Amino acid sequence: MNFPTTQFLGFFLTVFAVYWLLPWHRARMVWLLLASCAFYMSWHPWLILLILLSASVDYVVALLFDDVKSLTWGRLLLFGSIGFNLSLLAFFKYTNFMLDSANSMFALLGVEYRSPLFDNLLLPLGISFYTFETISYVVDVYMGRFRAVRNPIDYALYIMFFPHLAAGPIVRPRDFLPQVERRKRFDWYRLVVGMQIALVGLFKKAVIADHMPPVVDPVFKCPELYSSASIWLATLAYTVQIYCDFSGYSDMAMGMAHMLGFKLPVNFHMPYFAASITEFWRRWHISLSSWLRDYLYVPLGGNRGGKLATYRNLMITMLLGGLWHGASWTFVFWGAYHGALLSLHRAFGRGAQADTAGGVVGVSRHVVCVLATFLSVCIGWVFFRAQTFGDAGTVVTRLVWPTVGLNLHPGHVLLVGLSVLAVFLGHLAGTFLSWRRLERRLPAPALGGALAFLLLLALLLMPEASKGFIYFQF
Amino acid sequence: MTTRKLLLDRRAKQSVVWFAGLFLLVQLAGSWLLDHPWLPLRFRTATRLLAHLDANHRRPDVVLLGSSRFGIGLHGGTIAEVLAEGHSGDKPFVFNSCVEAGDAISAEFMFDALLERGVRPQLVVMEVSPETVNAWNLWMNYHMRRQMRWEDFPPWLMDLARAHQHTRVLGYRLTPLYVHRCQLWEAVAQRWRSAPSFSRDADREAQTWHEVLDVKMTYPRPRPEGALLVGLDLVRRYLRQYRTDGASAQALTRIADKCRRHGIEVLLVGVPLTSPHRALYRPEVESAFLAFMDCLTREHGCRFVDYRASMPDDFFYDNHHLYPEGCDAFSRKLATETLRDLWRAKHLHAVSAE
Repeated sequence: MNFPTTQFLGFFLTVFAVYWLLPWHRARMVWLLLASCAFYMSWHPWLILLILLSASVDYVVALLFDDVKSLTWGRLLLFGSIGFNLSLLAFFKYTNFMLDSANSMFALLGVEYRSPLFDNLLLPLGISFYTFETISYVVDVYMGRFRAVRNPIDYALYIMFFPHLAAGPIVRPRDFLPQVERRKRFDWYRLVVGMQIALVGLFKKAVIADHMPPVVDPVFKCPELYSSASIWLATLAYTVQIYCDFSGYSDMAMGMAHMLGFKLPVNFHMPYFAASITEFWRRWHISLSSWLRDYLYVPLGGNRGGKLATYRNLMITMLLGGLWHGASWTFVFWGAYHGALLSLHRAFGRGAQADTAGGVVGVSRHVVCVLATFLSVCIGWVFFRAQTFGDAGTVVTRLVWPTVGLNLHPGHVLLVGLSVLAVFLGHLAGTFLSWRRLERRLPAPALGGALAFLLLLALLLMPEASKGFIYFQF
Repeated sequence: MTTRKLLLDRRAKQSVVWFAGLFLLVQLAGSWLLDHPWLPLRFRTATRLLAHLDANHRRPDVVLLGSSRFGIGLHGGTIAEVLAEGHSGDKPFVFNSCVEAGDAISAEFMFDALLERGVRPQLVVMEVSPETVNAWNLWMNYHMRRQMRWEDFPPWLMDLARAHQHTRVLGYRLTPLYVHRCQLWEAVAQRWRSAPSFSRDADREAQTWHEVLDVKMTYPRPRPEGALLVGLDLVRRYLRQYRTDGASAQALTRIADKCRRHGIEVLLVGVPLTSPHRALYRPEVESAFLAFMDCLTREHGCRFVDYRASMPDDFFYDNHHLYPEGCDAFSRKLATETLRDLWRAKHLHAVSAE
């Protein structure tokens, strides 16, 4: 059940109506949990057992922390729980990657051995996301930041709440679990805000992101056939696609949660207007970058051990962040690339940024920084999107070196131009306008009309076949 | 609750009402447009076939109605040749107005469109088979998408429920601009393109059904293993319960009735099928179907000829579609054995009446 489908709309409307019709808070939570289970089982009925197993282990471990007085036993439990979760993730996500890499290694060494790959190994939906959520829960309870929840339904809902189950945002227990305990009251204003957020997300996903694959896919499939201009356009198109696809999903998740009386963390904040790569990671997939910071970078030592240790920690964090995205060396390279950019910015960029000038010079410098960051991010997306290093190399070479080849259809060029313009205007509006303040001034017919218009436009401009979310594969 | 919060809440409630009202209003207006002036956008095959007919100066003498099984399995040009053999005067114009996923409901739609254009053929050849007159209708989802209007909703309700389309029908009726968005955009794009050029009438009359529809047919050769069993599960599922009192059977009765009123001869032809397909017709299905055909022929003066077992399995590329050589053989067989005599009798009668 994908979000922008009529099937999901029917599901959500039923869940929403029954949820608010139920008079008891506990019954509502049980209903939400059942709905979340049904949502997950619509992808694969049996894999729900995996998520239940993972959640049960962490639920029990967190409760045991209260009884365990010995530090050693506590640590043993903590590492046992983290190890268990990561083993599940590693098995389902990285087994074939590791076996394939081992095969390549054997081949390089001239050893004639090929370990068989698992042909039918399914990647459970959302495993990367809920694994991080369960880890953050156990760690937070262990560190004393949060008390273990006694009610298994509350805990299960934290992991399985359907708006964020498939592709985040990665929710922290201290943000979500108190909301589960709090009694909800139907609020028309909250409903309208939720509708606005969800409709913007639907527009991003269905109207912008889903129109990009016909431009991006053929170019990244055979980049050697296309001219430099086409490669640039396809790279820009992918930059737009991945942003609109993922932030569109996050917006829809946030909007739906809002309509059900829950607040999910903001996951994107005009990332392509970031003036440095450090700022980019504060604006892009915020729930992941903050998770990596709090549960990986800081425990590794963060910036406390001197410059070299900081660069090392940055590289390790981003390498693992890259690997988290997908079981492929191109993702690892993408992580390393961002780790290197972050280290470089830490080494040289911070001084330059501190040297802020006002007026035209300051604005010009800011614009140049934004453009340079955007360009660096675009080049990073090449490795994120390409299937092999060879393809990525061809794309980067043609980005740098003007080459003749096939040109894109003028219609596609126009489409990319309009999409880039839409994202740019969206970023401008998000930076300089306060929509909430503006919206409060609108009379009810204008606001209702604007929402209806946005929905109609999204429905009319949706491509025939809806594409799955890119981040669902992670 | 503060006054400000109360005001915000009231305004939000009004916004939701406005949102829902405006959205529904636009969709309903869209559904009226797509049910009436823009209906041709929804039913591409019908539009293309009728445009093909409109571009022809001659009116059809024989009309073929049915599904892709007749569309692919009967060639109007071949039939016309056989009918013209040993007969002076113009070769008759045999118009294949079959549509994919067709049954009597879509046939009635096409036939009404032909009558509206003033077409009064001398002979209507109508495809029939047990599944196409079953109340558990295989093709209800296609009818809903292509031709259903608000006025069809009550008479089709039971059939829609039987075909498990009750939730889908709501989506189709309440969000038509979304359901038909691609056809709408295609129509906008077509405005920019130049008008298609037409060939001479004689060439056009000899075109096959898929040539008229501009569909490139690729026949699997050699026929893949198990190809004859493809699609049988669906047919088996729908034949599990069998009754001939649904919307399709009623549409067939109405076609027969309209033809009688206009003095058009109707020939109901049991469409050629492979042996695995025919094996699905249990005795009770077969007897109910034949009883319905018998009733129809008696009450409406039409004829029924059963060609279901007339073609060997080698002539089919799946469970019910013929290869081109099968099409040629079936067209000649039907024309020689049945249509020629009917046509001559009808044609002579028409000439003498003139």
